[in-house]
Amino acid sequence: MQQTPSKLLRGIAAALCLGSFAVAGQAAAQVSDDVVKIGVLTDMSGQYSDLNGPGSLLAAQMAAADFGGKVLGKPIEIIGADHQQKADIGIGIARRWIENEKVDAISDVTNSAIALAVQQLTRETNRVALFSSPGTTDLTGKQCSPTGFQWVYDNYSNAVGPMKALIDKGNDTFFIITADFAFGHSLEKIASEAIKANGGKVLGSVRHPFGANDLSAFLLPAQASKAKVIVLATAGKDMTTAIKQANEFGIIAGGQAVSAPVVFITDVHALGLSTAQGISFIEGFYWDQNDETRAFAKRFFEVRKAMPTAPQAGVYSSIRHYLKAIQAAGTDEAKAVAAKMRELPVDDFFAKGGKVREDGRMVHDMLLVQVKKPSESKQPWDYYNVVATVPGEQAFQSLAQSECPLVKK
Amino acid sequence: MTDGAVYVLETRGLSRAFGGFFAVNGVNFRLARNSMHAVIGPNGAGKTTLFNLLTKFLPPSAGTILHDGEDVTRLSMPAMAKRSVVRSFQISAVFAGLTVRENIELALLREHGLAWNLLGRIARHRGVLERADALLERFGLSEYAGTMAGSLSYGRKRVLELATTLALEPSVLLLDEPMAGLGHEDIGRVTQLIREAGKGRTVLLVEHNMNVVAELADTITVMVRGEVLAQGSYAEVSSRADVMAAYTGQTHE
Amino acid sequence: MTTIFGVPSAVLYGQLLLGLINGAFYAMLSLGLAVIFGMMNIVNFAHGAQYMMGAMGAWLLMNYLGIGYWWALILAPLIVGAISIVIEVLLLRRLYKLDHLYGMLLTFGLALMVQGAFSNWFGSSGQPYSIPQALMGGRNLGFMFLPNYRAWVIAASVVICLGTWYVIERTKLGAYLRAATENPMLVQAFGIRVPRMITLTYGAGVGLAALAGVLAAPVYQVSPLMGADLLIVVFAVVVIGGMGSIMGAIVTGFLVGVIEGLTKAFYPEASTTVVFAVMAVVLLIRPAGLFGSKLEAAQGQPQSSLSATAPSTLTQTLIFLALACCLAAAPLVVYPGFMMKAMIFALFACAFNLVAGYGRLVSFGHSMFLGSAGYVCGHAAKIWGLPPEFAILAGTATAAMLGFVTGWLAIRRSGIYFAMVTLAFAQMVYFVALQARFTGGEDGLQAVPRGMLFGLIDLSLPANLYGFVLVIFLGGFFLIMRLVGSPFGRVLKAISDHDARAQSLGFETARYKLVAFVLSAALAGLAGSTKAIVSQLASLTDVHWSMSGEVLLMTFLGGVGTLYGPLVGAFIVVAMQNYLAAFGQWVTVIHGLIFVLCVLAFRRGIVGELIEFWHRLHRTPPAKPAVLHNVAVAPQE
Repeated sequence: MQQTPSKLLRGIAAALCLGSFAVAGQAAAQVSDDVVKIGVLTDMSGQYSDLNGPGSLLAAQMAAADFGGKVLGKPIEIIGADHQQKADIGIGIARRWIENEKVDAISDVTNSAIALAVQQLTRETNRVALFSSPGTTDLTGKQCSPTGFQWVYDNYSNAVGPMKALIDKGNDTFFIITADFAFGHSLEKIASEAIKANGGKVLGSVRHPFGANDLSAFLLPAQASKAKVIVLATAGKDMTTAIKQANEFGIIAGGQAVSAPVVFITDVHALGLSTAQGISFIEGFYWDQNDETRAFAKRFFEVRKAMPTAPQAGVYSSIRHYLKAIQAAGTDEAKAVAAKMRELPVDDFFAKGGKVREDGRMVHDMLLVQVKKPSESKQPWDYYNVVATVPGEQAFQSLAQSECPLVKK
Repeated sequence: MTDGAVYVLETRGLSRAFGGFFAVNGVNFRLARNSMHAVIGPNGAGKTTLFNLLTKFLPPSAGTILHDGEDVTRLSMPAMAKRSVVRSFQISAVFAGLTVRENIELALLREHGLAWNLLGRIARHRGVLERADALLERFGLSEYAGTMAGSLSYGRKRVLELATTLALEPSVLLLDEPMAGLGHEDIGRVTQLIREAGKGRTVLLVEHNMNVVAELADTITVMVRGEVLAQGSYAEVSSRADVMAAYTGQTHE
Repeated sequence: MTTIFGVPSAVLYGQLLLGLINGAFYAMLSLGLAVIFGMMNIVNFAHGAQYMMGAMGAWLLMNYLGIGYWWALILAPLIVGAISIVIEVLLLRRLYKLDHLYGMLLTFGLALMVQGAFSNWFGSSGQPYSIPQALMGGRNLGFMFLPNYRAWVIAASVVICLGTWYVIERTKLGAYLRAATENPMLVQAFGIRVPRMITLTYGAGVGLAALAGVLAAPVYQVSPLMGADLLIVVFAVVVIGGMGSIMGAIVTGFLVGVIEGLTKAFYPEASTTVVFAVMAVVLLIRPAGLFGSKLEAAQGQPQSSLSATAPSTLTQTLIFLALACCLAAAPLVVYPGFMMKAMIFALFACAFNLVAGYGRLVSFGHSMFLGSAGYVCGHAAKIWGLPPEFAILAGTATAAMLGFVTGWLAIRRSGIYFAMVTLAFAQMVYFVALQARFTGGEDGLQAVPRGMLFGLIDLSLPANLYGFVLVIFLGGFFLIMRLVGSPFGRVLKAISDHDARAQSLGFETARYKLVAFVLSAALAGLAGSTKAIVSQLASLTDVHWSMSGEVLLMTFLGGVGTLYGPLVGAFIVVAMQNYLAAFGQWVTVIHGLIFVLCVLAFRRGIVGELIEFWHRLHRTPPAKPAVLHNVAVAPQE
């Protein structure tokens, strides 16, 4: 256990507080450093700055403001920083926040390497981590933490739902194009297992190096295999390039369906509807789903001039729930708050009937969406048809399958 | 030319081609011991190429080079320097970022076994310091000892270059147009220094300045179009008609 | 269906054709680079950004002015070319008399600024740009479906490349250009306006890049960073082909595309690394490149060194002790986490400076030493359970060995080639780290234990950890200080001033450079290993080329070739990273701006300028302008 100078000071402060309890003679709420400070650690300038970035910071600020700006009589402070997708910068900022700047919770994070390091750090220093976008299932698996939560999606929820939905519609042969690094391999494994479990067949697969400019060479064997579905177990720029080129090479026109597990509304925006139409995938949130989501989106749009993405909405929801938990627990001490977070149901525009499990996974209903045709879309960001709602228990990996040491089996 | 003796430097059928063009073509050249020898010729004759071949700055396309009777065709420039054959450069080569004193000390490092000393200080080695002092004195550079070599006048750079070359006490000295770029005064000084340096050494000069050649050289090689046209003393060579013809348009300075 | 070595022949032919198409882009881009380097001796690091500007230009024209693809093909290159001409006239022109390096740094800084600015304005995800109507669809060739647009790309690029070659090699204008490169003064004496030619050449080379960008827009993703990774591959292509010949650049571009295509057929995972492997092989067999003919400058050309005379040993020791005291006392006022990080990077920068500043071997791949050492050290501490001192030793040794191997290959070249070779090796290391199991890939090596130093000192206590880092930093710095002032250091400086002269004095210069490089690698590895222990993490960031760019930035900002410069630079850059993180979006632009300013105004770097100021104050004859100059070469025979 790391002894930090500020921890010692906090200990003294706590003792003094306890002392003042006795004097005041009443149960006073206990907030460390007299402020609840949340740090939004995200990618402000790089590849994911549209998906997370300043939008995440805005969402956090909105959550704090909507809560009234105060909890247990103490102010809520939101700060943000750019980790530039660099692990040592990210972890350096997190460490400094915790050791030096009284930060109580870290939100968003975006990058798996940084997320895992933050999980380790918050576990050691007894702080809360509210992950909105890293996809690695390790965060609620091998690397789970009593005070760490994964809020929006993970590699499992992304991969499994679409496979089942496709098989149900009669598309039973698959070819998988995988990004050749851990993330891609993990996605491929989950997808293949889901395919087999639902009675489908994987005809073949190919691995592409990360960051390849041109993916046409990997679409070639996919096209040749004549599989009904080509699964793109890859994300970001590689995925959008692949979809673009799949159109170009007549793959989609030729009748093969393209499924990309990890797609976000910002990717669709970048591709344009004429290229992305027809692609289906799982999303954690869509701004145009109902009146509540639209109300949130409108306020968000006024500032950002773009609609909120799932991770950004997740930041709002997770922080809101965190604040509610502090209120209920009467303290901002991490373990007590975490217990309340698990106890209270998550019920906001982001998730109805959501629940936080022992392993830190927030389980909520996911949406199976399909990208609209250009003719169907009436305004920018009007991109999805919500095809079905996937209930939380089906979307996420069950507790029985979890490798988290906190889960009692 | 004394036949049967082993020459200090000798080439046999030495050629160097650039693309299809032979800058040096089948040259048989001999340098006698302790002589002061100049290589002259009009522009484009191949003097510099020959010089670069001899100093191992360029590899030959064909032929052999011998030093003291041994085949050195494949050796590198540093290897030749270790055999005590040291060259100078047409554009004065000093280490501009070091002081004059540091330049000379550098040349002395190998001899004193300090070249691979990673953690010591030159200032601790009296032997080097004293030798450097002596050289500075001899070449009249003592007052410039602390000046950056790069800020010296061109003439002094030339002198410094000579000083560093001679610091190695080479047995063969190869000078590439030592008078190039020098003003009248400096030419006099450098000529004198070369003459002194030549005592007990073999010196090969490539030079354009005919006055200097006449003054210094015992023997001369004339090159034209990559081949040796004539060899002999200055008097012999300068009176030949074909040499004159090759130099049509050349005037004494 | 027939198979060739296990791959269906249809797929193989398809990959070859696709490879040829990709090769078309490589050919155009390396052609542009070769033209610019060949004519101007400038390594245009902004080439990737200019390619991107071409693509973005096409998108902007479409989106805001409704101007379509066909017009964009003409307009975008013209606009981007015009912008770059302005840059050439205002900025680049000042650098011609100086070493290539400054041109490289300036264009690199400009690239950062442009890419950062575009990322801020347009977001990072990319913009949609569709294939022009007339070229949509394709035909089935039997072995594959060939989109019409791709056929167009090949045809267009072959025409453009051959056209450029023709202009340069066969026309009068081209002859003037080539003559002006060989001997600008002579050509100017004939009344030809050389500066104007140079400007137009730059504009043309950039125009080629922008044109490639427009061609790419419908098929690749149009985004601000599209040129960045591509540029590194193009540099490798240029090293393989050799800078000498225009035709060589074209042929090599297509060749590399085809080789990549073949790799994608048989072993797709390696397709991004194969170009670097080919480069390494070519360097071994034909150091000048496949078609190379132009001898690299520098051999025999004297260049002023950067450093002034070192102060006396006593002064040096006093300053060092003062530094040690300041650093030891610092945690009382400054967040120790920041101090430790700054010291680690300072050591890294000082190690880099050893070869870049004192040896004038500017490496663009030093991140490979920092990162690989970090991974090995982390692995040793976490999986093998070694105590920190042995883990660090393991990491440092790894970096040294890597330094030996890469140095031995890289030192065959100098100047820009050396930089590109080191960059390429670093890319290979990056891809190995990305895919190897033991590094944890993009998740990184997590939870590296801090352990007990020598079995006695618990490094998880902040005070102990700080002392540990302090000792390592001071030790490394002291070692470098001694090295620089040693006889070996003097030889190194001399070699960097005038390699041929040093050789003529009997020094086997390649050996000295190699030893210096290995030492630099080892010290960088020491920094990387310590970093893994302190941050308890080793990640891909540490082997990425942007990390090599960072150390370059730190060293140049502080003052390359000075002893304390890299230290100052490191502290400033680390401070910026952490304390300006809130300005996140503009960080890249700020970095780029610093590079540009350093090159244009603060060439000596902060410490260098301070030393210069001190000299002037004391009216000591200053060191020869502590900058790198190209001495005009007298007419050769």
